[in-house]
Amino acid sequence: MTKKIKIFSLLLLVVMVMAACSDNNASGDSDADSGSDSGGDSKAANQLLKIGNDQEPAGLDPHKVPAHSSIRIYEKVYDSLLTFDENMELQPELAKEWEQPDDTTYIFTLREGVTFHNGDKMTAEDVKYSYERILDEETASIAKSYFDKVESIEVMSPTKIKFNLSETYAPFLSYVASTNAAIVSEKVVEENGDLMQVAVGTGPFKFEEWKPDNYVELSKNEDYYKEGQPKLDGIRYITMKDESARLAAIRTGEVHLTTLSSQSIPLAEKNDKLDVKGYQSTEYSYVGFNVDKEPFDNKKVRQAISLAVNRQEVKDIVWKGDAILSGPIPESMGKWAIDVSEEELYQHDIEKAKQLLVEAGYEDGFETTISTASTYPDMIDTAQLLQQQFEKIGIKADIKQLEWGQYIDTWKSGDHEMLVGRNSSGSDPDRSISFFFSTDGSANVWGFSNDKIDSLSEKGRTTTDKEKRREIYNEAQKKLIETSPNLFLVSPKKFFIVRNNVENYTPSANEPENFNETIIKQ
Amino acid sequence: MSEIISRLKKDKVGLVGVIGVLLVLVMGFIGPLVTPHDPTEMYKSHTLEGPSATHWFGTDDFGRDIFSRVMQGARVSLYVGLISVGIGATLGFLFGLIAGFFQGWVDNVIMRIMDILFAFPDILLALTIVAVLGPSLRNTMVAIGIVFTPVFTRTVRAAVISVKEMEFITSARSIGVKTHKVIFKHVSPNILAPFIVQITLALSGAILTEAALSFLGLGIQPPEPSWGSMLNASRQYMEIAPWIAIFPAIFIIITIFCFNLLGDSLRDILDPKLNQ
Repeated sequence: MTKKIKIFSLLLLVVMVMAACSDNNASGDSDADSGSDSGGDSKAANQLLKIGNDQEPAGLDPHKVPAHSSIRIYEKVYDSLLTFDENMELQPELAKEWEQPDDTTYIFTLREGVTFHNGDKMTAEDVKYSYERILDEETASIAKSYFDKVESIEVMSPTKIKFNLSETYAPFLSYVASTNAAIVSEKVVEENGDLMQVAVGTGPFKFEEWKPDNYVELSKNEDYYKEGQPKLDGIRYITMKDESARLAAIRTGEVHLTTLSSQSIPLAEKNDKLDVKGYQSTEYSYVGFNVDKEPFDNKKVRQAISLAVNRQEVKDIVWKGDAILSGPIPESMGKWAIDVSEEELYQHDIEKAKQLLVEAGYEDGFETTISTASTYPDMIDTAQLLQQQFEKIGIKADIKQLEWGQYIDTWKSGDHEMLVGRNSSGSDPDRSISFFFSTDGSANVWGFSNDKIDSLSEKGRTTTDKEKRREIYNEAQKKLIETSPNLFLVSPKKFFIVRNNVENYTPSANEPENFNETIIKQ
Repeated sequence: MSEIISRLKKDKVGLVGVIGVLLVLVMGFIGPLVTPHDPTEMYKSHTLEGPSATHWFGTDDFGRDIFSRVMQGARVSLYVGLISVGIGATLGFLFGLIAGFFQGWVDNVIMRIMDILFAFPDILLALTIVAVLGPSLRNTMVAIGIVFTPVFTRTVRAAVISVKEMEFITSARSIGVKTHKVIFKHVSPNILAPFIVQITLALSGAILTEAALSFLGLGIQPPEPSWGSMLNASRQYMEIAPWIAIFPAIFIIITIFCFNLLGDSLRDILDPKLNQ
């Protein structure tokens, strides 16, 4: 009996030792892994830019995935025909030039000698395939509505392609320059079924690997069409969802670059190894009303609330001063934006607000609910501040914090009274106006319908003269502020925190991450 | 009862617990009435200020007075603790009595359901319930109440089973006392000791669960403060304004500690085996 026990214990011991060893092996592996990251292949590692990404990418298909955590990765792998420079002016990318023989025809001449990362030549056939893929219902591309007016695409030669539109469509070139209109390779799509897990483009960086919940790594495209670019050997996007984790990582040098919210900026500024690079984003925070529901169906009520909002406080308290007043088109959109500081409804005026409520028949105020997302501290803070501001004109609002998925559902279904959120205005004013506020706009979840706005957005789409277009959108913005289906609050600054050995990198609203010239000084 | 009190007086540790719990109770009931500031008032020119004569515990990012918010938070924590433990204890008492007294298939059905509930970690179960019902103070209390039901059921059932076999119960039944009378008049009073101990222990658990739910944004909704939601909001400012985190955290720790001390010493006092 005791012998048996002895043998059994011996066996157990052996098993335990083996288990311990195998454990060691496993952790040894990962050690080796991280070893090779930091110093193993020393030459490559020296110029590997490590970035703390605040979300795991949601897939890599440039035609389908709108998530920022994905865009920042696939925009480095793919190119579009055109692009924007930091002043929001169109610039050639894969198309070296373009012409417009008449209002509804565009001809692009492609750059010669551009190859995909798999070595295949990029030709007009690929461009045609990419746009057809976007327009195909089955792809369910987020860019489909950008190109609804495209009637046919003709390949004229391997380097010339013609787009025929059904009618004049002013935002066309802006949308061609969108990252979502990336040129992909038909062969790669067919080989892989879709582009969610693979990425083969013509951009400055090649996709290497994606370790789920860990990192995505890109490497330098040696054959990039811009001579001598990029300078880096690669980029690694490491998923770090927690702000404090990103702060710690950038402080210790575990990553070279990351994003932080305004609250953490003073901490980064104190560290002399870090540079804080801010830029005015194309986002703005807003209060949306469900104009189908009482009392928000009454314009006077909405205007009264606009007067009750103290936008300066939103700027100072929620964004610690790092934001500017915004209309429907934020200031970073350059010439399209209007100066809203003198707008009557932007003046904080409690008396007038109360008077408007009396005129609307709500002299005793009313009760309502503000819905917002618990995921974003800035939204909760905005909601709390507004709740307190509304109280001054007798509006008693409860706050409902929703989990992100629930919030999106609520936003879509119009099942809300007041909603606090943040929008991005994209690159063309068409998005800021018709996408969100025209009667059939796909993001008009407010039940809002206004003939003037509808006719202005239609006119904006069909007017190609820039100055006239600007006047149209100026008028539309004033009308939106006056009818107030949303209250546009402030456009926040965004911040990149960069280790100070990273050189030649300047973020801007339109190009927050251009690393083509960036180097890491040792 | 007077015997319990006199024994508590002798038990130094228990006495600390009693005094602590009493202080928290006073704070919760009277505190919000005498706070120097309105807990939701925003002093916008005094945001993120450290402790001072006007704001004893400092102010948060909206310029709200932390001291007043901690006092108000005490009320929320106690309120949630008492109501949710009330729900859990009532349900658990009834189920435990029925299961323990009748045994057989009734016992089986009740206890298997309790086992299922028990199998889930507290927070996970509470999170699921709140996610289904929607975040609000009331739903938080219901969720915590349900989470605590199995513990009470088990405690009561075990006590009932041992009491049931005692001679006075057998004799009561043999002289024809009706079943419900036996249950409520003869069994119930004799199982109160473990039940009361469980209540004090569950109170601390409930307060902690509420803090956790509020921390996750699923408990009480802003601007109403609770210790958990204050902690959550303080995360962003941990380094620049640590007082926002420290004070609610200290109060959570002290409260939980005192309730546990009281619970432990009550258990010792009420346990007949230890007394002998």
